[in-house]
This record gives sequence, structure tokens and C-alpha cells, in this order.
Amino acid sequence: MNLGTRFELAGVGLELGGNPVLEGLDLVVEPGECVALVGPSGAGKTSLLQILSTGHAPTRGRVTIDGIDPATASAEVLRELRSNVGSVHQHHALVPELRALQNVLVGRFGRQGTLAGLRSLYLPRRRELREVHAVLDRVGIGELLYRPTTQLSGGERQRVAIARALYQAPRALLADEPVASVDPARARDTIALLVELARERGMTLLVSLHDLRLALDHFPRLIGLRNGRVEFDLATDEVGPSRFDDLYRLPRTAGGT
Amino acid sequence: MSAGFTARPLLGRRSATVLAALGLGVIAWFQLGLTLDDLLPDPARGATARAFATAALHPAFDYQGDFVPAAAPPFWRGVAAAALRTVVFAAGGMFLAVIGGLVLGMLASASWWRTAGAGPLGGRLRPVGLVAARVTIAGLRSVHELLWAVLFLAALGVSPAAGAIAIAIPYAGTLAKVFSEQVDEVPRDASRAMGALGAGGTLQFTCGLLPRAARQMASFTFYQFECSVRAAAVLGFFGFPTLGQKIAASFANGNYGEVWSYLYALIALVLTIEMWSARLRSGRSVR
Amino acid sequence: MSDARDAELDRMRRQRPRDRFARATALLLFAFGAGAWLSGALRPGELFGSRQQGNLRRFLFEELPPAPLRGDGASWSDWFGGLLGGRGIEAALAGANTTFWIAALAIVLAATGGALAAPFAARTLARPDPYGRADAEHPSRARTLTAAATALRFLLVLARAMPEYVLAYLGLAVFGFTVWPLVFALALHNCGILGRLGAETIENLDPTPMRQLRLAGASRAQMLAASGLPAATPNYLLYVFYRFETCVREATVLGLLGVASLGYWIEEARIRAYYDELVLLILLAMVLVLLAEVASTAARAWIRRSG
Repeated sequence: MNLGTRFELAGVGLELGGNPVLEGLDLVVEPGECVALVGPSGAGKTSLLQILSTGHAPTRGRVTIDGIDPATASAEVLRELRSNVGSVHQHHALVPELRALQNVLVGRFGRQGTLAGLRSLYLPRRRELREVHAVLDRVGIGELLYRPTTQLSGGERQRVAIARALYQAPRALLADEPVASVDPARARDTIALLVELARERGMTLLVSLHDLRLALDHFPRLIGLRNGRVEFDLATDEVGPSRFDDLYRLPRTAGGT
Repeated sequence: MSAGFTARPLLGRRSATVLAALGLGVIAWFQLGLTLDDLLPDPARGATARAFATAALHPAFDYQGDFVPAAAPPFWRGVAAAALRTVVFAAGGMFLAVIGGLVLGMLASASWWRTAGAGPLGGRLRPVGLVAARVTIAGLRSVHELLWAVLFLAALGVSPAAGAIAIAIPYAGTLAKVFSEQVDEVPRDASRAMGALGAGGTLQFTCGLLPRAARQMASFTFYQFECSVRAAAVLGFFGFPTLGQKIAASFANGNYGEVWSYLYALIALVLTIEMWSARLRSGRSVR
Repeated sequence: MSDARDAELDRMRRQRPRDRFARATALLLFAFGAGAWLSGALRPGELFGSRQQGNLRRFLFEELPPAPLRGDGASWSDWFGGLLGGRGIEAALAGANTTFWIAALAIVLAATGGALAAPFAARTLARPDPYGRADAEHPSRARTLTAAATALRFLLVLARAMPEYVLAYLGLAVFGFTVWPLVFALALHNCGILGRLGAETIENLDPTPMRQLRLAGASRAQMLAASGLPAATPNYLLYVFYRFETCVREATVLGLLGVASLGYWIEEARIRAYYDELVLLILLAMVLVLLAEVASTAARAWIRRSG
């Protein structure tokens, strides 16, 4: 069983192309916590997740992941850090030309050298096959092991993406709008699955969501973002309806998409 | 969009291009000093033309010459052997061209330098490396395979390997150019996701980008193979033992039926490859 | 338990979908390519034979360096004036000029021919009910169009199956030594290529606007004039400029057959074994091709920008 990752942000700000995207974020996410990030489009949810997955370095302030600041970490340590943080992307970010199996095997690339990675992708060992099959089974599509990804439905692809993150065996799982483009019933299933998996494996889980109902139903802690700032950071039962009205209140000037 | 507000130019770019092209054709006519009279077959060659044209319907099934060496193989086997040698030249050339094209194409693609070529050393080499690779490619491509063959003939004399290499050089350039463009145009989300989970640059390139371009790359390579078969046939006119050599020899001897047999063999080769490629393209996207 | 699991994995592996044809093709081509070298059919060893090495040394150190460099007292101005049998470099430049215009005329003819052929060869048009509505009034005409499209596509394949060089060789023998056979050879081959690319462009067009025109009662011709052809033109022009570049390459080489383009002088230099001149002319051909490439790239960028 993995121990979850601890994220800490102190006075974090981010500018992209000269525009402030995040400002003055102070947050702590404890190991094994399940947190939903909510807020309107353009609030900075994606940027925050990218900072946590070391995709962006903050322009101001400091991020530490399990006590390590990725900005000052060596390439070696950074790679290790990345292999411990899994992501599920809105558009899955799979290689459609590869099979489901191969897309899942990619999950371990962070711990493999070039040759080992290529070997596992094209000549997987029995042990790896069993593991990938088990993971795909866990997300309910074990039967699709050898299916080319192009032949999978949107929902199946999403499950492959989740399976890839599981096979990575990370200590934290970040999901950016994982259900933005799926129907409500499947969205519910997917979120339930993510939370269940995080609890099962003790992973820290951060999910950005549009849908407040889903956030309220599945997560004990909600962080509301608006215009790059934390609007609220509360346990779910403390969040009243007025909070959401404030969060999604339309600004007088036209906002982004 | 803005069409409602701005006046349309008198001449759209499309029509401008078409008109300019037609104008170019007219200028070419005068530059080349063409006359319509030249379009009629040369009267002195009328008999040749007629004999050659009628032979199209009667390709030879046996040697037409008077002096056939007793040891000569049956005619059809000669045709088949020349066709096979043509394919061997083409395949040999393409073999080297694909290797060269992959290596150069990698070095000429921005995405290779961004992933596999990243790192402290690659970062410093990148501006030079990318330009050097692209200049090399342009240089290789700009000399036609027949000119490479002429050059090798001058430098080495007739050697089959030199013929195949003559094909390989410009084809490597063309493959490299197209490969690099194809890889650079592929969506990057998957390779970025690999980077985010800690995969090294080489894995990001080989597993996140290459597979996405592989189908198009294979399809273009196959098309180039078809072109290389034609090129190999033409090499025969310069003394290499391919179909072109047979065509030239039979034509010089006035054995027009034989010429057509070789021509039909060449057409059959190209058509086979064409049909093969159509079948490939209709296949499923599975590797 | 794990045995049952492994058996299950093996079953899935055996039943995995795969493209055997593509795999077999790749293997076959690899075997052919590697075999061409390894079997000795191409005699790669010869390249390193003593005769070839001797040839190469003579070429590099005696024949390639221009006379003034060989140290036999010739001056650069003599060498320069003596190029191309005393005609000087101007003749080569004139040859380059001819080469360019042969390519230009050929591509104009090929583009015209290809544009005329493309709508008749496109599979999406050559059917009784193009874009969703049948030509009820002319059922027999639709059949004729379909048959014509098949025949036309075959002719286009034939046109591009023949190498330009072979076409020009035969053309020169029949028409005599004018520029026409070269122009025709290039035009015919490229017409085959552009006709097919044009047809594919039409086939890949967004069908919606044409469907709507069809539903509004437009005839085939009206539909094409109003939507199909304008939409297909930019892409088609991209192909034309791309082929123009290849035409310049080919036009140079067709001169080797003995007509006054750059290739003619290259062949002359080769026959006389003036290899310093040969390399100079090949470099000139290279410059010409690079110029054509720059022009073609610029033209394509211009068309792309206009969408």
C-alpha cells in the first residue's frame, strides 16, 4: 500500500504570457486526502494541477511535494517525483495507435530507462501482462487488454487512462476535469471509481470539477477557486449554497470561456 | 466574418494564382520558341512512329532480333529477370534511404530536439543541429538521382551498388523532409503526459510521437518505393542492368515489340505496387 | 488459479486484432531491401575494389580539379572561357533558363489536365446519387459517368506509371529533337499524379455544403461551380506547386537525352570526360532546383495563408 503525497503551497502565484493566472495560494493537502477543486472556467484549476504535477513552475512562492521543491530538485529527483504523481487528463492523452495494454504499460515509463521502456511496450513480460490485466480488470475493462485504442469508446478510453495512472502506482492522483465530456451517469461512475481507488490505495486525490453535485456527493473537502484565488477551502458539510452562488457569480466584465 | 465589412479585392488569391500560372505558360511558349508544326511527328520518323505505335498491340513474346545467342534464356525469363533486377535496385536504394531518412528526419524535426534531444548537450546543439540537418536534406534532395548516377559513373564506373546508392541519396533527403514534417504535426498530448509521469525524452519521442505518425510515414515510404522502382528502371538507360537498359537496347535495334513487352512489364510492376498500397491503406489501424 | 488467468491472457493474445497484411508487407520489403545488399545482388564489395578505388582517386585528384588547379599552367580565364566547348557559362545559364520554362509549361499543362480530369475521376461524384440526391432525370447519364470515372482513373494510373524519362526517350524518337517531347513527358506523368490528387481532394471535401446545394435542387455542375471546385482549389494549387518543384528537377535530367536544357550540357561534359565541368553544371542544377523549391514553398505558404 502506498502512502499518499503531501502537497504544500505557500504564497504561490503564476503568470502565463504576462497574465496572472494564480495569485497568493496557501494550501496544504495532507497525504491520502481526497479534494475537489471547483470553480468556473478560467479560475485556474488546470494551472494549479499543472503546478502540482510539476508541469509549470510557480512564478512566485514555493511548492513542496513531500517536502521537496521541484524548482530546485535535480533531474534525477524530479523524475522520481513525477513518477510518484499520476494524472488523468480530460482528453485522456493516450496514444490511439497503440493497444490498451501498451497505453497502460506507459505508466511505468517514469521508472524505466529507454530500452526497458521499449522492451516492456513491445515485448511485455508475463508478470507485466498479469499486472496490466489486473489493473484493467479493476476499472472494468480487462477483456479489452489487446484492443487498439482507436477501437475503444470514449468511456473505455477514459478507463484506460485511469488504468495507466493506477499501473504507475503513484502516491498522488491528479485529475483535470476527468468528466467534462461524458454523460452524467458515467461521470458519477468515474468519480466514484477515482475516490474508491484513492481510498483503497491510500493515494492523495485532487480532482477539478465543474459539477458541484458530484463534488458535494463524493469529496470530504472542497476548494473553491475564482480568478486565480482561493475563494473558500472547507469541509463539504460546511459549504452552503451561497458559497457556490458567489463562486459562479458572473463578473460584470465578460469572462473567458 | 470580416467579408461583410471589407471590400472584396478585385482578384482573389485563387484566381490570381490561376491567371499567373496561365501567363507563365504563355511566356514559356515564347521562351522555348515553340511552334505548333513541331507537334506533328517528324516526317523523317513517320515510319518509325507508325511501327512503334502499332507494336503496342503486338508486344513480343519472343526475341525479335535475327541474332539470338543460343545460350540466351527464353524471352519471358529475360523480361522477368530485368523486372526483378529493377525491384532489387529500388529495394536496395530504399533500404538505405529509409535508414538515412529516419536519422536525418529525426534531427530535422523540432519535436525530436524538444524530447529526445533535450538535455544540457542537446540544448546547446539544437540551434545548429536543426539547421544543419535541414540544409543537408535540401542539399541531398536538390540533386536528381540520375545526376548522382552520372556522378558515380564518372567517379567509379558502372557498379550496381553505386546505382542503388544514387537512388538512396535524394530519396533519403525526401523521406527525411516528409518524416520530420509528419512527426512535427502529430498531437503532443500523449508525449506530454509521458513527460509528466517521468518518462525520459527518448521514450516520449519513440512511444508518444512516432507511433502517431507511423501510419502516414509508412504510406509515404510506400509511395516513394513506387517512385524508386521507376527511377531504377530509368537507371538502365545509363548502363545499369534494369528494365531501362532492355528498353533502350531493343529500341535501338528496332525491335519495337520487345520494347512494348518491357514497357508493359514496368507498368505491371507499378500497378502491382499501386494496388498493394491501396489494400494497405484500406487496412485497419493496427500494428 | 494463476494458471487459469494465464490461459485467459493467452487466449486474448491469440485473438488480438492485428493487420497481418501490413506486417507481412513490412517484413517482405525489409527482406527485399536487406537481401538486395546481403545477397550480393548489388555487389557492394565492388565499391571497394581496386579498380573502383583507382577510378575514384583519378576522379578526385586528376579529373575533378579544374585545369588551373592541376598546375599545368592554364589560367582561370582560359578555363572559364573554354567551358561548354568554348560557349562559356552563358550557354549553361541559357540551358538553365530553358529547363525552367520546360518545367513551367509542363506544370501548366499538367495542372490544366489534372483539373479537368479530377471532377470526373472523383468517386464521390461518379455515382448515381452524388451527395444524397439521385439524378432522376438522367439515370443513363449517371451510369456513363460512373463507367467513365473508372476508365479515367485507370488512364491516370497509366500516365503516372510511366517514368518521365522513358516517355521523353520514346517521344524524342517519334517527334524528333524538339522541346515538345520533354514538355509532354513531364506534363503527362504529372497530369496522372495531379488528376489523382485532385480527385482525392474532392473526395475529402466537407460534404455538408454540397449536400445542401443538392437538396436545394442544384445539378452536378451547379453544385461543383458553387461549392466543390472553389473549396478544392487551394489544396489542389498546393499540390501543383509541390509538383512544380519536382518538374524542375526532372526537366534538368531530361536534357540528358540530348535536348538543350541543362542536362544536355551535363551529358556533353560526361561524354567528353570534362568532369570539372560536369560537377560545375550539377552544382548549377542544384541551385536551380533550390530556387524552384524556395519559390514553391513561398507560393504554398501564400496560398495557405489565404486559406
